[in-house]
Amino acid sequence: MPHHASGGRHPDLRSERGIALVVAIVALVVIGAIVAGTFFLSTVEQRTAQNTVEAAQAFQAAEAGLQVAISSWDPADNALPTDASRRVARDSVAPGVYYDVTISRLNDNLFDVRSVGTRRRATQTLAETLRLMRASPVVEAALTTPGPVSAAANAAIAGVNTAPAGWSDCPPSADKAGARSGSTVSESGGATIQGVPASMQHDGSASAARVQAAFDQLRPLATLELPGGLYGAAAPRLGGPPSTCDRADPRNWGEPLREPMAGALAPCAAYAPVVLIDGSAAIESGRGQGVLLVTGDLDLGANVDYVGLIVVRGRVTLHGSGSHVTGGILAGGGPSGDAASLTGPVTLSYSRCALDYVLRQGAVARPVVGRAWAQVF
Amino acid sequence: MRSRRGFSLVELLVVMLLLVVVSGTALHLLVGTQRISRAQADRTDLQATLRSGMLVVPAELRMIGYDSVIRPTVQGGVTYPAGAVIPDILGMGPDSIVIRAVRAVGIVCDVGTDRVVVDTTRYYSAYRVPTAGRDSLLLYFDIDPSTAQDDAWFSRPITSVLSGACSPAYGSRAGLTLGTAELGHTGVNPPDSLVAGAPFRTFEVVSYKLTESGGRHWLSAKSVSGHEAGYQPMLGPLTAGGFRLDYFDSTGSGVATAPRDVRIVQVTLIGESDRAVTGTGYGSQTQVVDSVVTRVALRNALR
Repeated sequence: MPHHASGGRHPDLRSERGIALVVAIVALVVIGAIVAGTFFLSTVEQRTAQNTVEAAQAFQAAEAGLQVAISSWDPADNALPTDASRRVARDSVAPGVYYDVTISRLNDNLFDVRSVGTRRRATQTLAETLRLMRASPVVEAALTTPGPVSAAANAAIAGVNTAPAGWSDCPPSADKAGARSGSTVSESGGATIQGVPASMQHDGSASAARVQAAFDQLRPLATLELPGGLYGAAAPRLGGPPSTCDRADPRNWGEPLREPMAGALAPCAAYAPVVLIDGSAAIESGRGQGVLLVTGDLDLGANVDYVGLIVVRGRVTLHGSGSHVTGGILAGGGPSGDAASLTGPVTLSYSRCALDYVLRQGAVARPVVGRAWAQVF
Repeated sequence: MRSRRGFSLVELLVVMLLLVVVSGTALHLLVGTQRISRAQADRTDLQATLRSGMLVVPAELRMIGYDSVIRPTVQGGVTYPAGAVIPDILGMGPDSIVIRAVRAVGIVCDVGTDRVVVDTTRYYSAYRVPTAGRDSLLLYFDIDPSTAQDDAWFSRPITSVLSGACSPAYGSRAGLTLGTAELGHTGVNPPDSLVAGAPFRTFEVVSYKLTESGGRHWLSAKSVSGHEAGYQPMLGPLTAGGFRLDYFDSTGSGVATAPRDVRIVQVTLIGESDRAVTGTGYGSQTQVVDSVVTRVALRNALR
């Protein structure tokens, strides 16, 4: 029997039975190959789709990075040397989606921001060119106004260049007039006005246009916009991570005091916001530094210590006891009455150093006109 | 002992009939599977086409900006008064657009009277190397450094491309010297208003259009500034009307003819499969059609 199985003259019935099996196997292999091919195609397709989604996520993250760089611009970067770079932000916008932002100084006015968005292996790089927006308002006196000025009851206006209390690194600078008025300047009740000259009356350059020009220059730089009304104690505050200045607090207007003065909050010394008050405001007490823009009238009460520039489109009044403004005031005045009135033991001093500092700190970086945004190839 | 008789005719007929039925079924199954597979491959291709279209077209459009005209100027035979803008969209239609397409991005790191050196080491990113004649420069002029009000972009032709080096303030890094005419165009800008560190772009004028060839439709491109004779298909096949552009202004209203008002471009791509395919593997075969719509916000549009 076994010798019959391996051929011979007799037909091999087993091999005939096997045809169906072979056909079935071949068919299965072919169908399997086609199905596997389709599977492979769809897997590749699914992967490319996934890549597209990830690239889009990375792109959005990079966009977010650009916005963060602009909105949280650190004035300390205004001093970055040309061609130097600093990584300013790295954070995630969603789990696994990151941005990484570096700024570079291009020249005196321009910065380059690079934001790299990452999602798994997908990265997208965006660039934006920013221009430092600086204001350089003309401040040639402690007090400049087209309207009448009155100083009474021991008020002191000094055009002599004065460093703010505790500021040690102020270079010398020329003294200016105490008060420049397009109208009249009056002193009474022991008030003193000093400067070079002490006061200038009917001064054509102390015009409403000069006040308006300063306001218009500074208006776009405002980082804090507040309504008119009564303001209690403005004061520097710390918040967030330990020892950082809480810039989110609308009543934190920076720290005019410098170490080692008692109570000086060092982290807020670099914070000098440009505050815009829309309407008329009365500030009762507190301290701050920067630029204060008021669209209406401003009334500085009992005990206010402010370092920087105050531009008021209406009238300005300083009264009470012991208020100090170091820097300069520009006041547009009202339709009648005094444009600026100082009553009581209040001090207004001209300070080039304070003005320069707050204008430098108040500069903000904004996208250049026309073609700021670029997608890096 | 087995009997050794052969098969009867009836047996053979039955076997053959069975074989025909079995192999027919197998073939039918095979063809169906193969058709489904082919349909799948064609759909994949179609989707890939649309996807790459959605990468390429918006990337070209996103950087669209504009030149500012500070003082009256003549460009391309057109006189622009002060205060006018020259948008990067040079022509717009429902199935075509002509734009200045950005080809390189970076900063100028040295300035001469008839040339600029661009830094190719840092801040630089290019789609391709700048080409004299075909590409032009867009340069940022800071006319009065104390104010941003008069800052402007101007375009200048590139007349030569040579290797060069940056000024020492930019580390004397390797760069490209791009020769250009009319740099000190004093009628338009003071000669010292272009300073090192200023951003630049290079661009070529490209026309995108839906074209027909061999009965099929394609999204095609032509470099106008490169004096190309005809449109080159770059994406497809699309359906008739498979490339549509809708333009919107800042309020979301449609814009028909004024490029300076355009803030958003909506791109619609409708693709069709290369071959007629079937969904189930059997039955009638038709062209598969798929579409994708995307809205591109022009980041550098007039604000």
